[in-house]
Amino acid sequence: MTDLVLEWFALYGPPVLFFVLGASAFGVPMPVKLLMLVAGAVVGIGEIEFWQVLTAGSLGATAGDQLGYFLGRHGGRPLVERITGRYGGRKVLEQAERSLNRWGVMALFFSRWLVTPIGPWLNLICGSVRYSWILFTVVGVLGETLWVLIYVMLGIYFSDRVQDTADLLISLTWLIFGVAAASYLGWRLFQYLSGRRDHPTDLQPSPANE
Amino acid sequence: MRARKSITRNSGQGCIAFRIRISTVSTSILQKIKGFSRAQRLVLIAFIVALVVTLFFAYRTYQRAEYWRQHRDEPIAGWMRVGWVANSYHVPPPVLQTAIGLPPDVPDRRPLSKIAEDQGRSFDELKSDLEKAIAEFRADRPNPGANR
Repeated sequence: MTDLVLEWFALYGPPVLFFVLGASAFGVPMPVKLLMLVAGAVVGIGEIEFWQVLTAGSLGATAGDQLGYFLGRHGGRPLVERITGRYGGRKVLEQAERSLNRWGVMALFFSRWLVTPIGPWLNLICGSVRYSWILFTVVGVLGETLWVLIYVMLGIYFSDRVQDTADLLISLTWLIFGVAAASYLGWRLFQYLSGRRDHPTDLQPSPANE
Repeated sequence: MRARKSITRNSGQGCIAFRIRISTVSTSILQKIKGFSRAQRLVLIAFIVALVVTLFFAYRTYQRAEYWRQHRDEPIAGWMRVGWVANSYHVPPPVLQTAIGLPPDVPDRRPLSKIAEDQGRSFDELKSDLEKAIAEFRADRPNPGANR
């Protein structure tokens, strides 16, 4: 798969970047990091213009995001409600809506370029809870452009070792994802554990033991 | 009850009191976990999974970073163009183009696998020709590391 995608890029250039980054933003596994680094290396050699790569990449990624968003908006919500209706699916959606209203911009922005594994899921969720489309798109375009920019710059600087650099960055991305997930879940657990601490019979010794 | 004990012993045997305190906290945490609802248990399991993932990728990232630091030459792959190999190995493109029987002055935009196919030979053959040319070019230069 990786070889095929990169061969396409060698043959057809920036349009491949558009489609591959689009598919990846939608959730299809693609060797995007290596592709963007290679694109950067090719920009460094001078075979392609920088703006072409940046435009094709961020437009493609944004298109993939939009696809996910509208799938969530028109297919996701009814589906979630039907499947989880008996287990309080509506409540889950409302909860997601509340936390997105609070954290949405930040979550969206960082999921575009730093914690990328959650990106496609967040697109679906945003669509399902009818998160503001304007905000979704503006933050999305900014985040995706930053993402492409970072990787293309890295590709220009490390053009003689794109494969090793891609391996390192893929691993690093999953590490960041792991840290983010563990922090969030750990915080939730801490809340569960400390929330009951106030309960009078739970931890505080009763007067009889004095 | 144990918590209270720890306070009374605190003045004399600080270390023991501290240990008792720790055990008190951990047993009370265990008790709370036993009383978790199904959703809360799921969060706990997800947390443990996230920790394992984090540790695994911390180690892997360290490995990759070490490799990245030490390693220089990239394996030549079928998807690369001649110009990309030349850039990666710091060899002028015409040298490599001549080595695999292409005109030296025209940049070739086909991936290597396509070139091999068009020339009617295997990619491995093409690859070894390129590697030989790179080795020869480097051997001719007094200080091959100078352009890094």
